[in-house]
Amino acid sequence: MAESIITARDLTKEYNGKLRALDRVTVEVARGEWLAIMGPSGSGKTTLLNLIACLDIPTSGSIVVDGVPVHALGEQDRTRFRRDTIGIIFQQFHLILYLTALENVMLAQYFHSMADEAEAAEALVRVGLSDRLHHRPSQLSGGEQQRVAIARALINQPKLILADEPTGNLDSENEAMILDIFQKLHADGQTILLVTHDPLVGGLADRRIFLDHGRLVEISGTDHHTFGEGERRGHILHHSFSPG
Amino acid sequence: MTLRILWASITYRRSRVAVACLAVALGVSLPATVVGLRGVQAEFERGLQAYGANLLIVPRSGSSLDEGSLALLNRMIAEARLEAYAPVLTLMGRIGERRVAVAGTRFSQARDLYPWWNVEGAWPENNTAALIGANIAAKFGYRPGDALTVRTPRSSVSLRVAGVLRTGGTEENQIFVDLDAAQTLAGRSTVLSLVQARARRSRELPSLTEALAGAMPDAEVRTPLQVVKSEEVILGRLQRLLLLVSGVVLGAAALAVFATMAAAVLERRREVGVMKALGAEENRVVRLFASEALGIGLVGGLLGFGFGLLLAEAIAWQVFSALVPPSILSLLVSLVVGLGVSLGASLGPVRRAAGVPSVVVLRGE
Repeated sequence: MAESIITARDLTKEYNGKLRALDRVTVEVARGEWLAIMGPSGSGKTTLLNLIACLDIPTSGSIVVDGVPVHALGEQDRTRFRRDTIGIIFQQFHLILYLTALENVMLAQYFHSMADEAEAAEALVRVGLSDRLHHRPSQLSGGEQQRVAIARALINQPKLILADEPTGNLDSENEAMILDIFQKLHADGQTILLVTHDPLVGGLADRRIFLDHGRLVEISGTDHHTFGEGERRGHILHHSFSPG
Repeated sequence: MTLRILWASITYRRSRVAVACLAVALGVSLPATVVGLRGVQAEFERGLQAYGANLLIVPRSGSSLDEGSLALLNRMIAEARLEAYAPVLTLMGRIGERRVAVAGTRFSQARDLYPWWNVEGAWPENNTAALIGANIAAKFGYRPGDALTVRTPRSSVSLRVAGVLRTGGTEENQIFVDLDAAQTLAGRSTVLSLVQARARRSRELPSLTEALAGAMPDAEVRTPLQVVKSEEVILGRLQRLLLLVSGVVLGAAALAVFATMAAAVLERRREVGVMKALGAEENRVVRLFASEALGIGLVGGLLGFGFGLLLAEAIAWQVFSALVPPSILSLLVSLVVGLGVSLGASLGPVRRAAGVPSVVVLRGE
C-alpha cells in the first residue's frame, strides 16, 4: 500500500455518554486513494468524516492526518490544520448567500492567506463556471453551487478532499457532472474521502468501507464502470466482510 | 476582501441593517442635541438674566458710594464679564404737598439692565425728562407730555413726563429721573445710593463679587441669592433632564440594536459555522461581525449627529431665536456613542454564535 495520509485507530465517538455514533473504527487511507465511506443513515459515516476533518474530536482513539495527531490538537490548532490541509465539500453546499461564486471561493483564500481574484476565477473556470463568476448562490443551479463548493475546497491546494454526500441534493445530470470532476481530481492524484449511501457513487472509488451502527464492515474490490450521459448505470459488487 | 465581505453582507440584508442604523441614530441624537445646545447655553443664561440684576453694590454703613469708583465696572463691561450696570440714587421729594420716592439713574444704562420694563410713551432722552411709575401716574393723573416739578429742601427740578412705567413691581411707586437731576435734588454731585449690575455668566458671580469688593473697599457687593440660585437650578435641571432622557433613549436604542443583532447573528449561525469549517478562527469571525457592527455604529452615529443637530437648531430657534453652529464635539460624541452602543450590543450575540462548534451548526441544529 502507498504511504498513508490518514491513520485512524479505534476511533470512538459518544454523545451524552450514551449514544455511540462510532465504535472502535480503524481505517487507513493511502495518499492518492479515493475511499468511499458507505452505510445507511445513522451508521456514523458523517461522524467519521467530521473527525477526520478536525471538525470534531473523538471520545477515544487516535487519528493521524498527514503525520499530525489531530485528535490531540486544541480547537485553534485543528482549525489551522483544517485550513491548511483539508478541503471540505458538503451535501448542502453551504455557500455564503450574499457572496458571489467568485467571492465564495475567495473567502477560502481569505481565511487561508490572501484572497486572489484571478486565482479564484481560474478555479471556477476549471469546474466549468466561467460565465457564473458574479452570480450569487440564489442565481445558480444545485449542480453549479456544488461546483462552486468544489472550487472553494480546492483553492488552497489541500492534501485531502473530504466530501459528505456531494451529490445527495442533485439530479442525475448534475450528479454525473460532479462525479466527473471527482474522477478527474482522482486521476490527478488527489486523495478523496467521500461519504455516500449510493452504491453507484461508491462504485467509482478505489475502495469502500461500510459502516453499520457505528461499526466498520469493510468492502473492497468493486467492478464498476464510469457512466456517461444517457447511459444506463449498472455494476457488480464483490463483497468481503471484515468484522470491525 | 474584508471590505468586500462587509459591503456584500450589509447590502444583502439592507433593511435589517437600516433598522439597526436608525436605532443607533435615534439613541445618539439626544446626546448630540445636549452637546449641540451648549452653544446656545449662553443665550439661555442671557434669557434668564433679562429678569433683573444679579449683583448689588451698596455703600458700607457710614460710607458713601461715588460715581468715580465705577471704572472697574466699565472695564468688566468691556471684558464682557458684565452685561450691564446702572448707578442709582434714591431720595424722597415732593410734588406739591405729596411725598414721592425719586430714583435717579442713567436711562441708557437702565434700559440695558431692564429690557423688560414696559414704558407707555418713550424712554427719557435728556435730564429734564422723567419716567413716572404707573401707580404715581394714576394717583396724580400724569400722562406722557405732562409737566411736573419735584422739590426737596435743597433744590427743585422741572421735568416733563416722557413715559409711564409698568413693571408689576415696586418701580411703579417711583419717579425715575436722570442721575444728574437726582444729584441736584440731593444737593450732592457724584453721590450714589447703590449700583445694580448683571453678570454675563452666573458662574462668574463669585469671581466678580471678589474683584468688585477688592476694588471698592467702602462698598458691599451682594448677589441676590434667589435669582442666582434660580438660574443655576433651572439650567441644572434642564441639563439633567436632557441627560436623563438621553440615557433612557440611549438604553432603548442599545436594546433595539441588541435585539436586531441577536436576531441577525442567530440567522447567520450557519454562516459562522461555514466560516469556521473553512478555517476561520473564532476571533477572526468575531472581528468580521464586529466590523459590521462598527459600520452600523458609524452610519448610525453620523445620522444621529444629523438628527441631533436638527433638533438642537429647532430648540434654539424656537426658544432663543438663535441658530446653533455644528460642533466638532457633538460629532465626536455622536460617533463615540454610536460605535459604543453598536459594538456593545453586538459582541455578546456574536461571541455566543462563534463559540458554537461548526459541526453542530452545519448539522442544522
